[in-house]
Amino acid sequence: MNTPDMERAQHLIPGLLKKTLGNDDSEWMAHFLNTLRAQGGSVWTEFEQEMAWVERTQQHLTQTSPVFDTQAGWQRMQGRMDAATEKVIVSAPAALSRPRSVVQWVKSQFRARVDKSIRWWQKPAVAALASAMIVGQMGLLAAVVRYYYNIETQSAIVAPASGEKGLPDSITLAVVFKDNATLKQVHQLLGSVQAQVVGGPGAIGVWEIAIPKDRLNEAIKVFGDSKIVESAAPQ
Amino acid sequence: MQPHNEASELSDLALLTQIAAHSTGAMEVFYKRHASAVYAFSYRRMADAALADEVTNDTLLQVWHSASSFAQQSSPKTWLLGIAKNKSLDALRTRGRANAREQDTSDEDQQAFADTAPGAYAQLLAKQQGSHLSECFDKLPPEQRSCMHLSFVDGLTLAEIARVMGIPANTAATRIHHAKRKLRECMECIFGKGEVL
Repeated sequence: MNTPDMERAQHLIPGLLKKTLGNDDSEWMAHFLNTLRAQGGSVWTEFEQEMAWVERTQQHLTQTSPVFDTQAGWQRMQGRMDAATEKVIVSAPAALSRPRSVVQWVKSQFRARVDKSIRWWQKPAVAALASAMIVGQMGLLAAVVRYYYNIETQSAIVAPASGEKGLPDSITLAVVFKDNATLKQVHQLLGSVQAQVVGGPGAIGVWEIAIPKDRLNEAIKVFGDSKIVESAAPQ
Repeated sequence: MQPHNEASELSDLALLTQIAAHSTGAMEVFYKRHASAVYAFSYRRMADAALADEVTNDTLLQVWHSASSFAQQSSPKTWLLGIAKNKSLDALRTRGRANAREQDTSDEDQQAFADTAPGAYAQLLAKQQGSHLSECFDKLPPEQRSCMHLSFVDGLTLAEIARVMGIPANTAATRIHHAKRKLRECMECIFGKGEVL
């Protein structure tokens, strides 16, 4: 006969025999047993047999449970407890005496990640690339400076060095250009007679222009006719 | 060294409160009160004395470290055996034995226990009846063996067994039912019906 009450009672038998049941279960079990005993018959007999079997099995399992050396176990346990305590004591001051700033923590994290992710050849490669970029930037900067410097010199038509004055087989003219003369007009004019700037402009704006001897007359005529020349005469 | 008299009279709950404050005396009382039960449970579960010994101290060290986390949702002993169950499982997994020993945990397990080899009956009769009970018990699937041990040896209720094992109470009841049936069958197979214990 397996009623819910009977199943519950069967499950409570070990606890009843071990006297580990709580108050509610103990009271319920006492009432159930009294009721069942009063009814008598085969149901009670079977339940008594079940209790007897559980009791014998329980006794046997308890008796045959492996023996544990509690004292030795406790000594080992004390060692582990002490070790755990020492670990806490030792690690705590170290952590307190060296407070790590956020920056240090970030650096360490970054360094750890970088060290983990890159290969041995990547560091020198990155260094070489960075150097090349720096050199390139310097070269570019120099080119830019040179470009603007040239513009300035061309616009001013800087005369060659003094040592170059007085080209062979040439005569130097003193030329004053008008204020509205452009660089393009000046170059065209000089190029038409193969003239070269060899000096100037001076304090009053006089340019020294070298003219091949065989083209002197032609040059004087061209300069005299030019709209951008104020005056031109041999020095 | 005997535990302090005052502490030895305290309830498990009171001891856990003192252990949470790192009272070594309270820990000693608690240890000596429960270590044997933890060891027996672990041994029944793993059938390895050295491993059970290790699990026992691991379990109680866990109590030392986390007594303050005891939520009082169960009895201290139920909580303790629950830790032991998990430590046992971890130990078995670590040693690579989990699959071998835990593979047959089905409640519907119909594993035959009888040793039908010739001469087995004569050999078994020569032994003590009790030792045969141990043999039959050891042949139970680990989960059924654990549930039956908690019920018969520790006297836990179904609800407490369920909490220790992390299973529903119905499952615990089913496992104990199958364990008892198999134990009876095993013993009857050896001694014959009506001769068991």
